[in-house]
Amino acid sequence: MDIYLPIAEMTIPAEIILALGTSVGLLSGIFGVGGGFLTTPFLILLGIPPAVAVATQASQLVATSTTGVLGHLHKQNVDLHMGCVMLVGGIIGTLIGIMIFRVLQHFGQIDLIISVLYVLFLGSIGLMMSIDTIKSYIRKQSHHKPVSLAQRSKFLASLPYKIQFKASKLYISALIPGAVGLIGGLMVSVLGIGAGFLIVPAMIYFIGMPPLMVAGTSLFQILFTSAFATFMHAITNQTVDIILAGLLILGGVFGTQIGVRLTKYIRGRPARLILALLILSIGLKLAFDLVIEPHQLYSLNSGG
Amino acid sequence: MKLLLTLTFVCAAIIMPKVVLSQSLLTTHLSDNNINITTAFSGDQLTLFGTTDIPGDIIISIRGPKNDLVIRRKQNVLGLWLNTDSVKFHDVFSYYDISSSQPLDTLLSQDLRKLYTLGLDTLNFETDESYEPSKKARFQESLIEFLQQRDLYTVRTHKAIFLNERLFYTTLDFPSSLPIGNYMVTTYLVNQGNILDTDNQIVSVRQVGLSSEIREFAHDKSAQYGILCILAALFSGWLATQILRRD
Repeated sequence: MDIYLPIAEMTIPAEIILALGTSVGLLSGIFGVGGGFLTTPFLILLGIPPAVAVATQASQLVATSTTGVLGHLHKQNVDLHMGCVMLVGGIIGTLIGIMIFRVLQHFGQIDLIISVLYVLFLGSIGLMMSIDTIKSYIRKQSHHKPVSLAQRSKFLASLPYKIQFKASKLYISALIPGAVGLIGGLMVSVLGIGAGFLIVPAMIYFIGMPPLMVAGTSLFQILFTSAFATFMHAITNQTVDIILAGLLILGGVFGTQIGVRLTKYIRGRPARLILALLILSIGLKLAFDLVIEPHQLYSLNSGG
Repeated sequence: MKLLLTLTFVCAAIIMPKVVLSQSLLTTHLSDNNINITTAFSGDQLTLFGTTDIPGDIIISIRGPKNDLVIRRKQNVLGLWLNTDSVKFHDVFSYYDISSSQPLDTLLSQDLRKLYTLGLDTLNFETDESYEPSKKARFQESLIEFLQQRDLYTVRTHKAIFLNERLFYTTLDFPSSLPIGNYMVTTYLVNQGNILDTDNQIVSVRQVGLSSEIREFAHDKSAQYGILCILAALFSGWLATQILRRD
């Protein structure tokens, strides 16, 4: 069924958008990543103006993360205390990120910096996660709980403002989750995506949260940052397409619910390995795009 | 658009001094001068009727509202493919469709086609800076390619159906990706390599109903619209949990 999008000013088959929403929702439910890194390029590929794709997918994130958070809350898989501390960092990070973005834009080549940052972050995190998970498979370690940097590093352990996070069973400095949130916020405003794929591994390896708690808690933070992003896009560029968002959401909430249910059957290690490989493959794809001669040398921007 | 119209008439007056302009040889009528874009819009079709006083061939051009477009080119710098070069074109037709009853180059000379910008090879977009001609040509060529891929630029030989020597009609197809604005539909009567007469019709493409209301709301009350989007997303996220939990 074809449907006209009033803001994007084009007609699109509704089924494709529904399917895209469902698959992204599935990822979101299982791993706690927003899926923006998938949605935005796909929408642009369909011919939707990039500004509309970015803004609209932010509003879709609000819906999928709401469903995700509620689903995880029901199973008591959300550390609200940790989430709030991260959110404080996230808001500060977002504001700093907006300033950095302006500076980068001023010097041109923002696209290049974004791509290189993606490759560096995705590549290193993906590689680290894969190696760690594969190692643990080989050794068949009896203790599943990974020892985090927060507990290993003397410097991190000596940081002030220590707080007891009951749900995660951690006693660490509030500065650590705050910093993770800050980096997440920076990514949201500089790279324009939910950055769940970055926050989730950071929460496992840096903070040392139990993997079960991670998805729900990161979705909790994504919910607020994406709502903020939606509002900013709506008032500055008028690029949020509510019809497109509705279709994405319809597919997304459905996929998220299935994903949340699936987490019951997926154990920590295989889930981590799948996520690691997913992150790694996207990082590799972006790296190839930078190095290999593009199919299309020219690109079109409207306005300017 | 008005400028183009006047230009066309001025040019027409210069080229065809023999033709008495007050006496029109061509009259056209469109089945509708509005294209309404609704939520279920998937393109539209209009019928153009016309009468001619002299037998001849017909060329119909449809030109959409103009806008500015930037086209960028990637280049290999130290092993990385980066956007290094760009050209900004001014007043590019957002839509350009030429249909003719015979192939264009058999009907008119290259010079005449250039004068009336009939055919993709006659388009010449304006730029701010003066670029090297070969560079501008390369960028313009790829711009036109992009627009053709999006069904926004078309040239086709499309038989106008003559019901008798004087009366003809033809159907005009508009794609679903149609930009909003006013379109100029110009019909040219061609005989033995000359344009004998032209007739213009304006088609207004606009959003109606729900989609126009959404668009207006998003532009006029953007803060409220943003909050509405967030609330709707929150609500649908919550609703999904409620529905799917009952099993």
